[in-house]
Amino acid sequence: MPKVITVSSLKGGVGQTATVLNLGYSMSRLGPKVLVIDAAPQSGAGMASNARQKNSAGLLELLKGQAKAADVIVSAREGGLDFLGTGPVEAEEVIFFEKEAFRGNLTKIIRSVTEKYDYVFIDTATGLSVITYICMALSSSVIVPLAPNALAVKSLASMLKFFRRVRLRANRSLVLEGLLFTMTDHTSPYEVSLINDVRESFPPQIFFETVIPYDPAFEQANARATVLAMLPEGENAGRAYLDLAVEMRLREMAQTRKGFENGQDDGIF
Amino acid sequence: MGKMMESSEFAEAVKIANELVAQSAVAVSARKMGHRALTVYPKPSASFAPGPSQEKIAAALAPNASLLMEEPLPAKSAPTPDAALARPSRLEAPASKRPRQAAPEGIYRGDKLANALYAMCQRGGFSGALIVDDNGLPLAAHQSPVSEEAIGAFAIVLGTALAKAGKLLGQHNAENISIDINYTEKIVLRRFMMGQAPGYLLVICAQEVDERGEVELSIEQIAQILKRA
Repeated sequence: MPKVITVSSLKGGVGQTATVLNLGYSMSRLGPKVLVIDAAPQSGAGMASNARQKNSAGLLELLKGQAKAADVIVSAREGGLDFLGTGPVEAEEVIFFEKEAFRGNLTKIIRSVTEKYDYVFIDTATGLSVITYICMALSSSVIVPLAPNALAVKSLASMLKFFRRVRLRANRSLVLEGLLFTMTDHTSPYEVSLINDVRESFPPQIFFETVIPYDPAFEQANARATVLAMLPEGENAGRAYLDLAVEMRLREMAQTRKGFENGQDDGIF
Repeated sequence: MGKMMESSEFAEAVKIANELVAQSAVAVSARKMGHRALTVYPKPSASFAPGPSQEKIAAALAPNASLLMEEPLPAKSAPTPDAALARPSRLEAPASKRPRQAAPEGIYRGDKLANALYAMCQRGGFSGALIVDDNGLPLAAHQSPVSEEAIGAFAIVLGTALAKAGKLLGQHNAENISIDINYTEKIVLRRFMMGQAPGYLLVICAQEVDERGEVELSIEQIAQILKRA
């Protein structure tokens, strides 16, 4: 069973798509087979990478039955990273996309293509929508990127309420993987103070320890349709996403240790 | 910043976050693994104005500074790239930052249990709840209608009744018992194991409330908190 992680945010411009692409790539470099799904009709992840140029077909074609999964999934040049885009979604097809999601067909399609992967990262559209609800309902966990500014922090309540609703109504096993501070400027006293104050007010385990710094290389990565780790000037921010991937793997190891504590110590094999 | 922290949206977000933690709806705690220091990624030095290196500053502060100093020191308040790069790996707040406050979650077992009871009562619509050990000692309570000690003693009476009723009906491992009061309220007792000894979760709620799912969901969390203690 793959670990399906939806990356979702109520507020735009917090590095949601960048997180999906870079975390997906970093995780794949650690060994697991990773699929990134762009479930946002505006195809942000498709535009931020060159996946659309390689293959313009995507989820839309799968929903219409016009293509098979193998025809629409694009593999990265290096690492075990695959990408499934939305396809060319025109204005009228956005409604079709949402209707298919509502009918449960998007869930079926995503489940059918994710079987052979270890990790699946889903990029949803900014804000709360049917598609975001469906993606959370089929996921194991949710990552919420959070930029260190007042509006992003204030919008957190709505996001958490939405998450709680999905968990109660559609997916009791859904967990919050964590809130991830992104686009941070560690040289700004205001941002540093905000991050520390927010972290002290919330339960500590709700945050990732890793913080993603703002770096001009993000813009360069977007322009060159690649991930930070592939850019020489993206070393710092790329390393932060690698740290995040390692942190997630460490959490899973902690869960394994928890199993041993509970008496499931049947040996390593 | 202070106004933002006092806003209703912020308070609501903190409240929901605490509820989610109480429901075990958050991935494994980073704190359980031990904190790693936050990694700081400084801005590229090109974005800073050039300034003297730390070695030069140290030399300038030495007793024979005037002999070693090759260029005048900048004003003390002027930022230097090396000073920025030399920040500790933990995020540092400015000196004007208000004093630290304890996380609302609480660090003590009693706080954690009380939070779990609070979240359970919120979710399940219960009037109150109490956890007692096998001696009738209350470990945590939320909205106890009378004194916690009295309810704790009553829980033991119910626990004994549960064991006897279970044996009577051939259900030797019976775990819960429910008493309806005046067709309006009920008291539910759920027995669980705290290591080798039994413990009891007592819930008071309206009769129309179906408490079973919520109690079963919460009992595991309560047992985990007690186990970690």
